[in-house]
This record gives sequence, C-alpha cells and structure tokens, in this order.
Amino acid sequence: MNCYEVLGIEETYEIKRIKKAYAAKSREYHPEDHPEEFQVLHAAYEEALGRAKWMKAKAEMDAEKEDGGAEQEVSEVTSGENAAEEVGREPEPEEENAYGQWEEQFEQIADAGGRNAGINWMVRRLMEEFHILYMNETLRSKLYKWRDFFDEPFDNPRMPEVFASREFVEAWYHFLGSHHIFTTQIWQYFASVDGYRFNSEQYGIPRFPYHLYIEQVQSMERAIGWEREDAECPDAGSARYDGQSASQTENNPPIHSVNGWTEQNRRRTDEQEAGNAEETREERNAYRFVKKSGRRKLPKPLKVALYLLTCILGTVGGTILGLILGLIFG
Amino acid sequence: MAIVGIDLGTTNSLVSVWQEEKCTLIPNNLGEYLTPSVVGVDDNGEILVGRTAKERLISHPEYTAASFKRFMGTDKTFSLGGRVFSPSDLSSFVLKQLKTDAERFLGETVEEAVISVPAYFNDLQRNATKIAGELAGLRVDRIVNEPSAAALAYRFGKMQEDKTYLIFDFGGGTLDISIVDAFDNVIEITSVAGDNHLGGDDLNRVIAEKFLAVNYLDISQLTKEEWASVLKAAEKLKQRLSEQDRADMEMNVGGRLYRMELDAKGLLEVSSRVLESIGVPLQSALSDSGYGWDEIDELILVGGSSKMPLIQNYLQFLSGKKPLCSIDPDVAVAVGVGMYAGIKERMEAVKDMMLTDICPFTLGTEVVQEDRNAPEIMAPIIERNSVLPISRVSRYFTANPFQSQCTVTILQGEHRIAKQNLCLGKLEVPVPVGKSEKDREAIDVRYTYDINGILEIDVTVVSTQETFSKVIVNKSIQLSEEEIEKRREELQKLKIHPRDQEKNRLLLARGDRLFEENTGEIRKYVGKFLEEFTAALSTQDARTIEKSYVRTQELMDIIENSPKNSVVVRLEKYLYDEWRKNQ
Repeated sequence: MNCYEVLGIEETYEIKRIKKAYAAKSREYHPEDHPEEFQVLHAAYEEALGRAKWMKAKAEMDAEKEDGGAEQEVSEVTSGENAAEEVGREPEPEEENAYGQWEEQFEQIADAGGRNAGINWMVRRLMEEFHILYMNETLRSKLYKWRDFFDEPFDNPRMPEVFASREFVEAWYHFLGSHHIFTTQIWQYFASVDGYRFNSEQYGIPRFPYHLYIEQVQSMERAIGWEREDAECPDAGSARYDGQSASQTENNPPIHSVNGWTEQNRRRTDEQEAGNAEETREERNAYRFVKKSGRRKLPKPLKVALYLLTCILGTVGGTILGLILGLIFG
Repeated sequence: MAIVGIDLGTTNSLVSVWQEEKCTLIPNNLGEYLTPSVVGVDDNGEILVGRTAKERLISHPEYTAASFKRFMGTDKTFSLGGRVFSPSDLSSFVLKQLKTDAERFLGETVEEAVISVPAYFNDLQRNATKIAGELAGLRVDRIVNEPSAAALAYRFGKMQEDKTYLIFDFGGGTLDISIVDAFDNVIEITSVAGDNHLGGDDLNRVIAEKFLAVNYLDISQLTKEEWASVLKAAEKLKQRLSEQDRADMEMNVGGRLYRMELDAKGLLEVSSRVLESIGVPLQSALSDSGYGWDEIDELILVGGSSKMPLIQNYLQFLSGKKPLCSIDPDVAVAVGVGMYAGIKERMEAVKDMMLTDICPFTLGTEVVQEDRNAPEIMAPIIERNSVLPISRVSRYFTANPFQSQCTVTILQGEHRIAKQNLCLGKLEVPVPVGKSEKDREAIDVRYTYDINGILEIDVTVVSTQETFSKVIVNKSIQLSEEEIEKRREELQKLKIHPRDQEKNRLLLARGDRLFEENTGEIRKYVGKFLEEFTAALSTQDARTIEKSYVRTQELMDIIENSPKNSVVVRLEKYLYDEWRKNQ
C-alpha cells in the first residue's frame, strides 16, 4: 500500500488535497482510539507531503534557472530603466517598516545571532583538526604544529572569540581528557594557553589539571633518558617565537576583560583566580625557562658519572690500545 | 457544571470559561485577569497566593516561592516557613485559587478543568500538572499544548483557512517557539524549539546592569534588597518604554539618588545580546519544520514580554511579516484553553478537533564506536518533533565475541556523545553466547512513545525471539490515587487566607515593600500611612476601612509613580488638600 492509497487519494502533488485527505481520515483514525492505524496514516501523510514539497522545490528551481537566464539578458539590454525603477521603489519599504531607523542595528544583531550558532560549528571543525594532528604520531610531538592553532596571526580574525567561547573550553577539555600523549613542552604550552586565550573559571568549569600531566610526562621522559631530547630540540625557530609569546602573555590583559565582561563578574573571577595565579605563573615560568634555554641541561650527578665513565674508558682504552700496539710492533 | 480552561504559567496564571458563544476570562477578586504564580506563607502560617505573595517576594524571600513551574515533574522541593512543598503542591494552591475565583464568578461549582502546558513538557511534567489539578480538587482529563491553544484562539471563526503559524511565546523567563500547521479540524505542531532561560527578566537584568554602569556603581555595593528594587525599577522602565519613546528610572542607593534616562535606541543597544539569543531557537524551529519564512502565514505573539515594540519590530525585521497580536499576548493561551474547554463541555465531538502532540526531544540508545577507547555515542531511534503516537525500531549487534548480555541505555537529548544526554533508564538483556569468535547476536530495540507521553521499550533478541520490556516511570513523583487523596487532605488542613480581606493585605504588603525601598522622609511617611491604615482595619467598620483603603492607595501611588525628588512635595500637597477639605 503506498502513501496515496492509505490517504485514499490518487497520486497528487497538491499539498492542499493531501492535507484535506489526511484531515478527513484522521477523524476516522483518531490517535486516541486507533494509535496504530494513526501512525500508519501519519507516516503516509508525511511521505506524501514530503514528495509534494520536493516536487514544488524542483519546479521552483527549474523556473529559477529559466528566469535567471532570461532576466540576465533583459537586464543587459535595459539596465538604465531598471536602475530608474529601483530608485522609485526604494523609499516604499522604509515607510512601511516601523523599524526603518533601526534596520542597521537589527541587521548587526541578526548577524551576531547567526554567528553565535557559527561558533559551535567552528569549534567542531577545530576539534576535528586537533584529532587529525593527534593521530599523526610524528607531527603531534611538534610544538610548532600546535602553536599554529593558538598563536597569532590567525587565518580567521574570529579565532580569539572562538577560543574564548564556552563551547571551545568544553570541547577542549573533553579533547585533553581523552588525548594525552604529548611532550612536556607541549603540555606546558597548553597550560600557558589556558588562561591566556580562554578562561574556564568564567564558565564555572574547573581548570584542567595540566600540572598533573606535566609531572607525569616529565618523570616518564626522565626515565626514558635523553634520546628524546635530540629529536625535539633542534627547533631553531622556536627561540624567536618564544620572545613573542612571552611578551604577549605579559602585555595582554586577561582575555575576559577584553570580552566585555561586566565589572562585577570580573571582580569575582579575579578573586577566584588569585588562588590559581601562583600555580599558573609557575607553569608559565617553567614553560619560558624550557623555551629560552633551548637545550635541557643534564642533571649534575649524571654529568659527573658520565665524565668519570669517559675517563675510565679513556684510560682502559689507552691501555688496551698500548697493549695491542705493543703486540704488533713487538 | 462548567468546565474551565486554565493557563498555568511560569509567571502568571489565568482562568477562562466558554460562555454564550465566546470565551470569557475570569477576573480574580482583585479584578485582574492575571494571577501571579507565586505562593507564600505568612506569619500566621497561612497560605498566600497571587499578587499579595508576589509583593512579599522581596521582603520575605524565605517564605515565598515563584517560578516553580520550571521544576514540575522533578524531585525538587520548596521549603516555606518550615513546611516542605513539591512543585505540584504549590501549583495546586494557584489552581485552587483560580477555581475559587471561577466559582465566585459563575455562581456554581467547578470540578473539571483543561490545563495548558508547554509543548516540550514530557510525561512526568504533564503528570505532575494533572496531580496538581487533582490536589486542588479539579478533574483534569485533558492537557493541551500552549501553542495549540494559541493557534486555536486565533483560528476561531475561520476554520476553513489553511494556515501555518509561528507561535512566538516570550514570557518572563522562558522563550518557546513553535511552528503549527492548521487545516480543517487538525492543529498539528510541526516543530518546537526554545530557550528555557531567556525571557523578559533578562531584559530587566541588562537594563539594571546598564543603570549601575552609567552611575559607576558596582553590584557588590548593593544589598540584596536594593538589587531587587533596581530590577523592579528596570522592569517599570521597560514597560514605560513600550508606550513612550523616552523614560527614566531613579533609585536610592546608600542614601544617594541615582538616575538613568533611556530612549528606544538605548533600549535596543542594551538588549542587543538578548535579541541575539532569540535568533538561535528561531532558526532551529524553522529548520526542523522544513518551512522557510515565506511559508509561514502568520506570526502569533504570546506572552507578556512579546508586547514590547522592540521585540515586535525585530521579529518583523526577521520575518518580513507583521506579527499578530489582536488577542492580548498575555491572555491568548488562556482564550484558546477556554475554547477547548467549551468544545469539551458541549461534548460536541472533542475528538473532531485534533490537536496532535509531539515528542520534543530525540530518544535513542548508547552504542560503542569502532574505536573502543572513544566515548560511547548516541544512536537516535525516535527523532525530535515526531508526531505522537510513534513507534520506531532499530537493530543493533553485540560488540564483543562471546558476549552474554547487552545493556540498552535509554537516552534523551541531542548530543552525539552518549554521556552528554539524559539517561532515562537501563535495560539488561541476556543474549545467547556465540559459538565462535565471529558470532554476533542481533537485538531489535523498539521505542514506543504513546499519546500520553509514556515511553515503552521493547527489546527482542532476534535469534530466540525473546522480548524484554520496560516502561519508563519515575517512582519518586508518581503518586497513587490514595497518596493523592492523602496529600490533598494534608494540604486542606493548611489554612488559606480568607479572600475577603485580600486587597487590604495586598496594600499592607505593598506598604511593607515601599518602606524597605525608600529611606528618610518618604520612609517615615510610609510608616505613618501604614499605621493609620492598620488602625482603620482594627475598627472593623467596613466604611472606615474602605475610605482609608482608597486614601492609602492614592498616597502609595504618589510615592511609587512620581519622580523621587518631588515625592515629598506631592505628598504634602495631598495631605494639605485633604486637610482643607475637612475644614
């Protein structure tokens, strides 16, 4: 049984007729008395309506195509006339609309409203890119790859706004919660970005425990030894970038005051932050220290041990060499 | 025996009845149609409802409850003056009040009512509303969706026209947008969207914040009462701006007088953030329904806040249509509910008029992703805005080899990640263990959401055809007949304040509020007027009381409605004139 048979009409794309048929049938199969039949009826109604709408849209599109072509030709010939007509037409809507003088503001508001919905979309795209980068094992430990996302200049001027949004903070913490194979450097960079690009406290979300991950990764890196270091450090560009980002962190006010926060809220978050500030500064300092020194120094006892080892090896090697030479040359 | 229609709102409630071929709104004993949905307990432990309770919101916040509709169907309780009430209890006080008003107006007993609820209310919330009705001694057979009621009100007398309406319900604290398709005898909701925490109160707040900003004040300098007064003044300013182009507000903070003037353009600037947020649910309602702006025939305004010219102009800008508000937005839903009550009373085939319900949210189940470390995601079964009743089935497979059990988690919400959605319940289904590592069992999960908004889950194991069912009910709020009866008797023991003295009490409450809001000389005057009025009340002579009532009310109007710096002069003039008259 197709949808038209259920509705008791022949195939039609006339919305009015479909609705009439549905209304008539729904008397017979009221949802309270015949829930099952009604479901079938409603499904048929929706299908018939969907088909009719599709046909209508298609017809409109076809018509538009034809019209568009025709109009263009005409406008080319009589563009002067058209312009005159437009001038004559213009004042009319302004008289009609009570909101005439507000049109511009309304447009801005509507635009901003649309953009707000856009933030969600941008955050989702960003997260997808993060995920792709993370999945690439060699690139995810490159700090500059991550800095490309968070540091200026941005391709899109709206990025700071996106980073400062609640949607981003939520998505970012969710991302960090399930993706944590980063080097100390990157963790420390993330910690410095948090609080500078966005402020989670502002949305009542507790700050992500970066320090726990930093400690953990540091102890792991120490255990693995210094092989890793060579892979990461010859990052000549990073020294230059460092100076920049460090000065930015100091000069730029915290993001929430830029963002049009009310005085009252700011005061409150500032108070709350006072407790966190110590920790944040420490993390930032640690980050700067690592960046500026470039190559990490080896711990002292290890150095001494290494020195001794070279000495011993040298002596032993020398003796053996002497012995061999002695043997050869008699 | 009449059937009344009740619009039980978050901020205000109304009652109406079908009389002589039209819908009549019933005024309460203060002569107003709108009864604030506020309940309070006074010093004697008696229950206060409506305006009197609302006046006490600022002065006695611990003894007064408002906006309890938001919590219908939840476990939340309100503690007022040492007594604990559920949202249903509090709603029942409001309903009882409306019932009394209707009985006084009609001169007969009222035992049945049709109550309207937001379209997005689920079964629990609808049930809580019914229980509230029963606690108030009203039989509630029918619950009507607010947007359907509003559409019905506008359709009266022109049933033959096919129309698609967008109903914009902008109240004190909520914004509900519904798209309703109406043709012949059918009123079908196509989609709903909204913002539960966006309303006229937000406009009051932004105006109040602006007031603080232009006067270099900080909210931390203000006491709780002062902030409440600033909000009240901001609301007044907002209302005056609906009638005139320019208005001002004055406030006494810490002994100093502060002032702000606002014109229509200024209002637009401060409220731009609120207007921005309107766009989002509006877009989602439109895109869910599949209609464009040009397919919407009429834009119906409902709710007090949509009376603002600013909101109407903005909507007209967005839609290119003149919004309809030929029925006062405050009462449109009540008028529709009253009409429906009328249809029901005439027994004239209520069922001929078909108002369909929808499922306002997506229902689905939790499934694991290919990558097992990734979080579980939501697999939708019933999509949001589906017309009820609806039954949908989906097939799922076991995820692990030798799995002996499946957990069907019932989720409600729109988020892709399962955990971000509301979990309504779980159903454990044993499945036969496969023989080899590659064997997977299939289960068919059927969700049925019936016309009463009750969700039933049937899980069938495909290989054995064994079926497991579960009906989602929340035991903590579901009350049995006896429990309702018991609770009703308990509530009946509470003394509801005698209504005959209502307006006197209201005046006293208003006086108390003015006493708190003002300082210095004005405060002294308020104290004096209250003293004189209480003295008049204690004479128990109706004429003396009435005379004193009129006088005190006039004096309070002067205090409240004239600019702060001229209050004392005006009061003195009034008293002087009075003295001259008596000479």
